[in-house]
Amino acid sequence: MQDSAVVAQGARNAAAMADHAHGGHPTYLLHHFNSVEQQADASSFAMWLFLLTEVMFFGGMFVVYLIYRNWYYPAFVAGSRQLNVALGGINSALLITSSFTMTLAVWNARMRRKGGMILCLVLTFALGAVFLGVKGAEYKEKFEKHHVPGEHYSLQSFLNPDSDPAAAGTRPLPLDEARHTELFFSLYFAMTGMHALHMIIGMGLMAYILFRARGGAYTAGHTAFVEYFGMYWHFVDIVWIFLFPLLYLINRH
Amino acid sequence: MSEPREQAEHIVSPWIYAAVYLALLAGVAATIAASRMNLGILNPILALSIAFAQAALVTVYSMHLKWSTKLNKLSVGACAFIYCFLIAMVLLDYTSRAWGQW
Repeated sequence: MQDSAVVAQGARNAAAMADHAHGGHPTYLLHHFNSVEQQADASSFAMWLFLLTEVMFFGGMFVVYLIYRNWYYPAFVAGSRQLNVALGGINSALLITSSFTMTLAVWNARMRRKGGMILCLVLTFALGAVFLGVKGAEYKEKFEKHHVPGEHYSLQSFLNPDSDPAAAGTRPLPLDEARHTELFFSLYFAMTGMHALHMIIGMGLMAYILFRARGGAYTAGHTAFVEYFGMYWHFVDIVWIFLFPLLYLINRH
Repeated sequence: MSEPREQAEHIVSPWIYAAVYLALLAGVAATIAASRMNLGILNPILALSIAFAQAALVTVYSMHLKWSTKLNKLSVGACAFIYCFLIAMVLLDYTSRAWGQW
């Protein structure tokens, strides 16, 4: 913080600098902003820009998915059939519910209700944890069936579908098509894994917010950090809203 | 309606959040129901349309874009446009190549 820059902002701030008190303005107003409104505009713009780079990041993976899905459609149908729609649907509901509790946490923070805010954050955290648990169970099944891309990848379910209850009754794929199911699972693990990583980071941030919220850090009028975290959490929700139909629901009729 | 000052002060009613929540859950149910029907080429289009509608609800209401500054709205719109543009360019290249003819 350059003192000279602050003094240049005007007499009001200069007076505040005299005793380095926050005289006349809230303590959370940083010295390089003229007003609370200016600070809110600048920081919310920064948060949106960050999320838009995230759109481009996930967007790249969605484009790869789009092209390979068109290219190797039978393999993607067979791969998608290996995923459990019920578990995917439950996870969608869990994540949407956690988004809802997150909005309520922000509302409670703005209404300066500490207890309600902490309760909503704990619920959001718990729903996120259950989501990751379900995801972990799904991953475990993929490891057991050797559907994780790599050296031990197994084509059994696709060359001989009747050997696998999840694929029973479907048409066996020729070897060249069956091998492309590995590509489907590569994208499945890359996209859901990156999504899960975002959730784990989010839960870490949530733990930090909960820790600070107990002291009333977000229920005294300055709710920006909780709001921006909420935006991040909703963004992660949006990613899943697209992942679910694209990965789980290819040609399910 | 959307003065830059509004975001700092606007408190959204929890009932709006509840309505969005129910709409999102209905969207998941509709997505699964639609996947059970044989609609041919319309299957993925319908699934993605529902997903885009859900994403729009989250962005506009849960993420408070509706009450945000014009600069933020413009940025989100520009991102959506540029992303669609990039996908279109990639697909244009993809569909216009003479695959397997060299």
